Amino acid sequence: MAKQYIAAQSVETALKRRGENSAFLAGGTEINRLNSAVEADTLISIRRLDELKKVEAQGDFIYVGALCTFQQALEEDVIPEWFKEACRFMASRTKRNMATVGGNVAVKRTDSYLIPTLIAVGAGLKIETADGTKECSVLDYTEGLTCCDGLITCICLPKNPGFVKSVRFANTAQSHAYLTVAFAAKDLDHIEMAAAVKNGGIYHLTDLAAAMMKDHDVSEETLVNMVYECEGAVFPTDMFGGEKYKRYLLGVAAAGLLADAKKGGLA
Amino acid sequence: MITCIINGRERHLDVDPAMRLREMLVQEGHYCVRDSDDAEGFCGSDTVLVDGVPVFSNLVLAGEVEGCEIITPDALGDCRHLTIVQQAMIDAGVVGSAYNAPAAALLLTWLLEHNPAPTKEDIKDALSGIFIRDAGYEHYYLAVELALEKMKDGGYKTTTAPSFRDECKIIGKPAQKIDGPTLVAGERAFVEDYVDDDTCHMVVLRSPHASAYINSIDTSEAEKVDGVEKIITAYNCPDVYYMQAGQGNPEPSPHDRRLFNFKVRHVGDRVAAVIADTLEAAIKARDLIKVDYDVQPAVFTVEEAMAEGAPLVHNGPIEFGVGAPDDLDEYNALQGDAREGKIFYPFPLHADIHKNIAASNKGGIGDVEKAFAESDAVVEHTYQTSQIQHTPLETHICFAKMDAGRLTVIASTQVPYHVRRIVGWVTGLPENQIHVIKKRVGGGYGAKQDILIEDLTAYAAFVTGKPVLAHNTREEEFIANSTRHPMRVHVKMSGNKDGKITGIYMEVCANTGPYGNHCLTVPMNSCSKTLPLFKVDNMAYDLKVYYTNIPPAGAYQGYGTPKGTYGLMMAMAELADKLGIDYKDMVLKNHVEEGYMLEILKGLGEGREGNVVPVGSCGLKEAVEQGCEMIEWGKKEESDDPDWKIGKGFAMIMQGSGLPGLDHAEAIAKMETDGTVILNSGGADIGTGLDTISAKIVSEIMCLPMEKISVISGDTDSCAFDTGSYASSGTFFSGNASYVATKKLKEMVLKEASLQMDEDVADLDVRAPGEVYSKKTGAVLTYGDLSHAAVAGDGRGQVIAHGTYITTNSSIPYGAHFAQVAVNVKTGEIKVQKFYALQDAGTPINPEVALCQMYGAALKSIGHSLYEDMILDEDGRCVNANMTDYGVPMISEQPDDFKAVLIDVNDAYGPFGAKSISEIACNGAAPAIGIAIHDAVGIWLRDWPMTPEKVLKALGKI
Repeated sequence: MAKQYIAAQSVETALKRRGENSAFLAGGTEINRLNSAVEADTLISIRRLDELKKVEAQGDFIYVGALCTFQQALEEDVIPEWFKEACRFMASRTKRNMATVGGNVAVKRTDSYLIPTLIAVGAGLKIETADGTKECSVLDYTEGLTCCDGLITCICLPKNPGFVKSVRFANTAQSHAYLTVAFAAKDLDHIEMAAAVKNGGIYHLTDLAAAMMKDHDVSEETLVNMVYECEGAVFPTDMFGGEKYKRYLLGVAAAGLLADAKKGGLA
Repeated sequence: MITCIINGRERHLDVDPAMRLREMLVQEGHYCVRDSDDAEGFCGSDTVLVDGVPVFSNLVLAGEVEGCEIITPDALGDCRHLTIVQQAMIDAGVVGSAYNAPAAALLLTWLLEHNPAPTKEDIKDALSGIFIRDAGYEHYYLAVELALEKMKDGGYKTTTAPSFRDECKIIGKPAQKIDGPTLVAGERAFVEDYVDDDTCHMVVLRSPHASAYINSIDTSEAEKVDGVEKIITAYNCPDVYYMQAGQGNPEPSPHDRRLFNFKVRHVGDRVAAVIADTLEAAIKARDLIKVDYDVQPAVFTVEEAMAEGAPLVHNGPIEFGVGAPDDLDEYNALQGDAREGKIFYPFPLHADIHKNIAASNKGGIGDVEKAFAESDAVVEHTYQTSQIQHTPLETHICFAKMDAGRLTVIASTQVPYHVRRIVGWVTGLPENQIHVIKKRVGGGYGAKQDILIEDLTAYAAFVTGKPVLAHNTREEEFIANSTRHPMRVHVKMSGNKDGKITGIYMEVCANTGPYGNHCLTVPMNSCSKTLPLFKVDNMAYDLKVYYTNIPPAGAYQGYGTPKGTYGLMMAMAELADKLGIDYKDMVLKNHVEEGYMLEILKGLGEGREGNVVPVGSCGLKEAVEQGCEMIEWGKKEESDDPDWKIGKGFAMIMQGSGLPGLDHAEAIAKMETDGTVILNSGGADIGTGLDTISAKIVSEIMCLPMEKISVISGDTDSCAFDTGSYASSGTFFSGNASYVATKKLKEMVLKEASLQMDEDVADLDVRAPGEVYSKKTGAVLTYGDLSHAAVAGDGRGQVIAHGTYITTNSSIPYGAHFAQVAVNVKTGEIKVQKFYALQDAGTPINPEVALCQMYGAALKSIGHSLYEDMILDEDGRCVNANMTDYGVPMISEQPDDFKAVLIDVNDAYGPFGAKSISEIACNGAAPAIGIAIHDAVGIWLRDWPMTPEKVLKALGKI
């Protein structure tokens, strides 16, 4: 547990107090949890920053404040169903009342509820830093390419990403997912996919998407074999299952998502 | 300073803002805000409302609630003024062990305040963050329905449960569980609520190695930590060998351990205990202890343990109470390092520690080899089961202190008298100097049949003279507790084309882990509670139990039966498939029925010869036939999605009702001076409603309202001996003791009344609301007047009756569990769409509670069958020793169509015809699901948990 608690009254003061061995505290479901990966002596609570709870549609985007809880997201009319689908992966209502969308992205867990979907749709982030406001994609943020020390203030969802669907595999609804796969496509020539493999990594599945775009009728077997042969991703054999199983599952899930997209009228 | 409103009252609290909110609330007296998962955000015991929203208070810091309004579960009604929701929960039967009942009441109250007409999905959503292990979730839907009816119409329209025995007024009828109000209101009930302020904390240093000798332990730096009272290790603990199983004395388990040993035998084994005046000091000191280990090779599976030249888990000298073999000296000449310690067998268990065999047994009836040779078909397969944790919401806890020169042990236990005996062994105190008090038990399931922390906590209090508290972390529950034995059940079964089974052979290899708690009896149970389901002349069993270095195994609800049932029922389905016979027809052709003599039981006693008895009351056939109708057996279901295939399966099940010839129960019924009755029951109510059963028995026999009856139980000072709540003995043995005592009380009351009324006893009887009346003269004497006169200075003394119950009769509960599953042939996912549990429980004395126990046990066993599995790494370390990674079924996992049905059978021996109810409900899920999976996709999964990965492998997909 942290030794010091600070309640920030503004984004600016939160950033000012951020120093060595400190972390921003949002919903608390990760940082205050048993065996949390986040270690910090000082927690800077941003809970009272109401401006970070706002959800609004503007232009081509829906801006979801980082402090919007999973449950709030489910209750907001403006938030699209595909994002709600990812929020529902967090099965516990009590936890959904607490956990924030920004927090889930910030901790970059390999069993993240939201990140695969956000990468697939090309979602962006607004991040406040000591040097001002920065914008980046969720993919860049996840890969550590941009402003990881800043404070995520907003997730920017594209308003019209086309067909979007995500699937999650876990032992039980409350267990950590060992594989989450997300698919987004405006049409069959513009497909994006991402996956989170627990204890493996978060992957932007460009090769799988390319294969689908190249051959809209690509077979499940082909996709499975592609994942079997993929050397760039780690599929650990662990308590959740073997490497081969997880690779197979990703291939099958990808094929299933493509089939669903076609059934959904995507041409 | 934190300013907030707690339950409507503004509070200004001088607390560290970095403290967890739960800790702050408990500090302020809201102790029903509990912790089951060490702040994992899983179980929901810590649920409160902050600004009207349910949150896990362990995941909120105190500073976060500045200016907020907090509602805790104790803000609802107290036990005398229950809210409609709290009362509905009791009436629906969901308030069992009830550790999470207050939190669930808060969530349902919150739900109904925000949504006065919730759908099933809304209720599911509201309860999605709360873990209920005892009662399942099905009757929570009923509780909401009842509450809504009462809110709207002032009363219930819906029946809470079926009623049984028209001739009885309260037996077999839904009625309020007597501890329900206290439990649902979140009032003091559990051990943690009774800990003194000046209590020391004890923590245990545990072994990081699966097998190692201890070369030395350096406690010098640890002892310098301010507040440390005592450090106990193998070097200063009593040289007393015992075992931790709470079984009848002499136990059918080896005495193969001391409080601390010089050899550690599993990751998590005890190395040292630190007692200090604060938890922080104890932990700090523990972390300063230096241990020099001599690491030894380890074995983790029965295959490794039985291999030639395998490392030996125990290799010291052995001793016997009775029955020592002639070659004992030669055997002991082979002993290893002196640090191995010794083993004492109260009587022979057919062990051979030089082969890692902790116990063995074999026997049978008829000639199985001949049967196999002469049959039309034979199947032979091996079925493997995994290591499973009980996961009670209340982790193991014990508070012990010296009180007026005596040792008082306040425990959450199923076996108060066994606790007293074993604490007596460890401390050297006689039983009259030890007082064990069982408080409400927040989930037992067999885990609290073992004396896992009471031995050490009581010794620590005794040796320091200080009050001492020990409370397991959730991780300790996994690594230093008891678990379900992993087992390998090899079955060979033969049959003929007419569907008749001709021979059954079971070879059981069980993994008991490092110590032998229940090592003989759990595997025996996998035969003794399964083979007697079959009307087969040729049956044989051969069981061996191996020591290994996995976390300890022990008693678990169902004992060995779920594993034996899995093997036998799957084998029967495979045999039916091979013979081309419908499985249902084969079941109906081969199951036992009333009057069939169970010869197979002769060799299946608990370490002694078993009782051969005929089948008594038996609702097996009715359960099978009714279940087949409900699930439409034989009708093939089709999914709209071609990837999902649907199949059906079922399994016959049985258990026991205590251990005839071994179990023993006593009760004392006292009529107080105002005519009310206090029943002192030796039985241990672990949330199952046993105290309510005793109260109902008194009410029925004495024609006395329930509110005029109190039951005091589980207190070794005020109650008489009872072997405890295990082996499904509560209702049958402890209930029968209450029955015998109350019958005697009635006789004594009538006798006293005949003297006071000057009438013949034969002319008198009792009637409501608690009076004696003369059938001849019409004269009436109230119990109050009678009892007052009996103690009025010139009376004949208080009317007190003592009942003892022992028997050699068996009252066997039977049943059948049915599953309909959908299996995805692409992903291997398995969904249990329907689950029907049909059970003959004799007369269910508390029918609404009985149904919830069935739901709870069946849901638990669905979890065991599909995902629950303790996974060890190559060093024997459990890698999923937390709730999230381990995975347990919650409301999301409950089958959409879930039904529990009580088959109406009246038993000859149980109190008012009752048999046991809950353990048996653990037995059917694995085979029912396994057979259904085969029906769906044509594969036999012979290894539980039956995971998607195993499905895909069996389908040849990976």
